[in-house]
Amino acid sequence: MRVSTTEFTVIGGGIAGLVTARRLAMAGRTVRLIEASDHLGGTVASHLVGGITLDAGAESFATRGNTVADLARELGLGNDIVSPIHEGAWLQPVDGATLPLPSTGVLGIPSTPLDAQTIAVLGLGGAFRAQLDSLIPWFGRRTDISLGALVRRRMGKATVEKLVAPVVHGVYSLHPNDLPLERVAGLTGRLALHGSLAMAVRSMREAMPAGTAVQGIRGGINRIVTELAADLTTYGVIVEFGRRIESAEALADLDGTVIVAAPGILAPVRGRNATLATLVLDAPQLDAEPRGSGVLVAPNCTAVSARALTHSTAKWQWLKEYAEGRHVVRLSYNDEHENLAEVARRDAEVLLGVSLPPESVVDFARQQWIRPAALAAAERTDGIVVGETVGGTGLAGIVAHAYATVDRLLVLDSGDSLDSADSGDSADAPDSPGAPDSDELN
Amino acid sequence: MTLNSDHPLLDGRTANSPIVRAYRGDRPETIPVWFMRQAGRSLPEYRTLREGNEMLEACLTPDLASEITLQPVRRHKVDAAILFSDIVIPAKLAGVEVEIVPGRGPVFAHPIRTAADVAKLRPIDPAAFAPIREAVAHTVAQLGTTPLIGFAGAPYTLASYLVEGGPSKDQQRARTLMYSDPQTWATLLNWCADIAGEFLIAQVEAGASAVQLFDSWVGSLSEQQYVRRVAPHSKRAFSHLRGYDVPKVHFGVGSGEVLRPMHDIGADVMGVDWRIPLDEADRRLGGGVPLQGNIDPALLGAPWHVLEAHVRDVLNRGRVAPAHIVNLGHGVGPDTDPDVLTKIVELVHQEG
Repeated sequence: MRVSTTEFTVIGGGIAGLVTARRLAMAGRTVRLIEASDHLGGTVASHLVGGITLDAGAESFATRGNTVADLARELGLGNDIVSPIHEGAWLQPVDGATLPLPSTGVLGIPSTPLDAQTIAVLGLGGAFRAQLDSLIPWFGRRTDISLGALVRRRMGKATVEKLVAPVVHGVYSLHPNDLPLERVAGLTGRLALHGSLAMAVRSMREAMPAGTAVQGIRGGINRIVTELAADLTTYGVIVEFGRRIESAEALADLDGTVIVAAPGILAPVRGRNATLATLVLDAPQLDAEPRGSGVLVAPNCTAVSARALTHSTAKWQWLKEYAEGRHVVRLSYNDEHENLAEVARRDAEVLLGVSLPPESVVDFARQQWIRPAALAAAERTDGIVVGETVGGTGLAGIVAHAYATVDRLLVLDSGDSLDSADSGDSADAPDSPGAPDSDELN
Repeated sequence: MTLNSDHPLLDGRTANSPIVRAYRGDRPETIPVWFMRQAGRSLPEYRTLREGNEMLEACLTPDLASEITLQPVRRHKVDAAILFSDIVIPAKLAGVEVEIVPGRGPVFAHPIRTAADVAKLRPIDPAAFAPIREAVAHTVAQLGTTPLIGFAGAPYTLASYLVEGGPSKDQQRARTLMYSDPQTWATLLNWCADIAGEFLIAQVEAGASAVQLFDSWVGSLSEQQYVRRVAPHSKRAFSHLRGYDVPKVHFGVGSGEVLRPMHDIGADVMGVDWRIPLDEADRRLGGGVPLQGNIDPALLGAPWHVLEAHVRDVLNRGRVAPAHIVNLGHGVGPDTDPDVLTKIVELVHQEG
């Protein structure tokens, strides 16, 4: 066996690490990938619930930029890219009954505040307040505010709390008041151009590709990991399992240019819990798909503790066929629950508006993830970083960011001044926080 | 790794031979010609020699393999010898149980079909190729200025045999594994690429002046399957030769749909089967690639005037390529009249 020296070491076998290692190896570089656990994929994982193989993490991807769909096609999954059956989602307000979420907005921000769906959520007063946005001039002086502050100023408190908060909460697990405006890709630029928030949102909708905002893979998003892993083997990437890199100091011992694709190395992991409860139900009362693909929950809602619900068998045709009449429902939670199975069953009853007696539950699974918070710029000056801490929430942003990083590395690598060029390289890395993917729900 | 200074390509013996010049894109005074499977079953002197010897044992007996390799060079005056061996030899030397069943081909005692099967495959010890090195060295010493071509089976073809357990009609089990367990597939093809690569190195280091990678079953693949699931492994097989400056030929049967990706893996010369004429192959490759081929082996049994017209057509169409090495579009069949091959060599040398 001829041993070649490692040119790149990638730490972390999640999607960002896999995509990075694959791209580098396809460009002819020798790559080693180090993974702390005994399997690849990170939060893109699968589990068996009620005999059905289901995604245990991300279950869809944003169509934005076609990044993930193009990757799927490269991986031979092109014929298995699928769109959800239902467009749009439902909303569980702080109090009262669930309502359809107005379908023309972005992150819940309405593009036509006076349409019937928006009035149904905001009430007539709230809708007229939102309409004032078209009269308030935009001076564009301050963009370092939160999304919540901006929407409140232009469209009023009701729009923030009743529309934007449930969506932002469902996607980012943050209140809009805690979501920096700059993380919503393309919004401030369009505001400056159009002068009103509704117009900016309309323009964002128009810029989106035709079709649905999210897509999936027949058989589950986790198939991408299977194919990526095969490609790593194909292109000769050496994968080392069960080795945990604890700190930035340990990076110096690794061969070649090191790319950090795992949280917790350059800075301690800060993040939020995301607990996923999956129910497989024998419940013909759900055959009518009462809430389409699912329900987003307003942050302060007391009726349920779930953050969002996805009716998976109503969302994906392939899963509906695969489940053979049973129903799959996923609920996401921020908090720990002692008796999650029971909490999830009761939340599902409320959100879906049907009775789901305990005997209708065929199986239940609990899956816990940590969604790492973004790295501060100061924390990544001494390393090349890819992944959720720098690429934003969602597969599309993470993959696009990893590609951009690899492209820069390959350009640098083609010169002869690699050593001087790669240190401090990502201090000014183009950050693409990206629009939300709704990995959990749409 | 580089070639030793006493290698035939470096010590003046074969670098200016017509076939090496043509492989490097030059047009020598006469067009070179050799035949795939020229050594072996079509020759009466081979059948006499093989009597009582099992096929794979003959391949691993240096004196015997060498003599069989030399027979067609003496008889037909072809421009190159090709080592008498078999694409399953590296698998056998790596410890896989295989035998050649007459009339059928290689048959494996235990087909490789699961991740566990693949995990049991061990990397080959380069020392296992000692009989091959000896056969090559012995042959090259007697060939003088006639080059010896080394060869190996491409990972896909080799893997197909391993998965199917022997020859198969359309490699369906192998192609299923490609999808049902892509990582096991990739691991298997990497193993095949590495043993093929080591097989090539053994032949080159011992004196081969060129190599050919045979992907006999490539015609059962779509272009997409080839590019994604096969080509990276074939590239890996060739990449073992990094540093050795020997011409690399890539040949597949039914390769019309994948000529360009087959060339892209790092081949210098493309072998073309009989299904597309050489001018069409040149067009599909975008020009600039030396071509080897492509007399239809079915015509070897046709009346001479028919075969002669076909050979002249092959020569004419080959003129669009930067260089042309005449060969068959597939191997010599066992029932071929060896005199026909001798006549083709005379015709090509006289016309080219």
